[in-house]
Amino acid sequence: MEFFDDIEVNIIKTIVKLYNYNKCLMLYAEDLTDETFLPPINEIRDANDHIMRVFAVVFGFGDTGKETEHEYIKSNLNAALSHVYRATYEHLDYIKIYQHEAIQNNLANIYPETLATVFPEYYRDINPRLVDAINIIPDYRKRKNIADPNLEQVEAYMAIIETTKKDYNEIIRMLPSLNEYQAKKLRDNWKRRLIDFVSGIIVILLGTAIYSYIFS
Amino acid sequence: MGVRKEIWNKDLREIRVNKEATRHHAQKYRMGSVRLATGRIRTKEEFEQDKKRILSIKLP
Repeated sequence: MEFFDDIEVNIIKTIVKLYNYNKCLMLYAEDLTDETFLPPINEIRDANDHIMRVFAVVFGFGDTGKETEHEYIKSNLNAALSHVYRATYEHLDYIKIYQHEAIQNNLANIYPETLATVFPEYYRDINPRLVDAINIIPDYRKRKNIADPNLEQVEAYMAIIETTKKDYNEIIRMLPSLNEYQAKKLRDNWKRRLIDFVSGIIVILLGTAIYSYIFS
Repeated sequence: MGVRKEIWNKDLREIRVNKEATRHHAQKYRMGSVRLATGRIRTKEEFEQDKKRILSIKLP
């Protein structure tokens, strides 16, 4: 560690932590959509390039230009950190959208009345949380201040993603009950309609018979 | 050849992908991630389109 001063060591620690968060998000994002999202790959590749520039200086075959070695190391470590930070936000934004879609798809054929009856937690807790998740986790492209990475904020957003993952699993667990209730409701509705129809026919027939009897 | 110092401070170009071409040539290139080699990639443009569509549909 003699190559790096305390400030540099702290930046490296932050990069390593953030990279770990980003890797978790990357694995989950790939599970969610079965595809790899390209923008964070670009960011990680750029981060790696800046880290390699640092190691090149450490091992004596870099080019610091007009900067001193430590100025050069710091500026490249900060650049690497910014790239990993952006990659993390790209993933957070990506995951929140596809989590939302996965939930939409699974609940597409479930009536609100079914949800309210069989799964009251959905409207009480889960739905407000899902709506909040979409609004709270920012679209990083709209954020202007990306130069000052805030690890606590990232951890808070990751916690939201984790909660949505649990909510999604709970929805999946409830789906058989929701579908069963809905199928039963539909059967009951058909029965009721059939009974109404048959009753209507009987009333008409009786009415016709009475009318014929009276006026014949 | 040795290490070329002048290369260090050049920035890399952004990766751009043509998914159809990648899928078409998948059999020829088996290096690296199978996911990437077979065109299972989502680009920024595709994501932005999906995002608009998904956010326009409300949850029940």
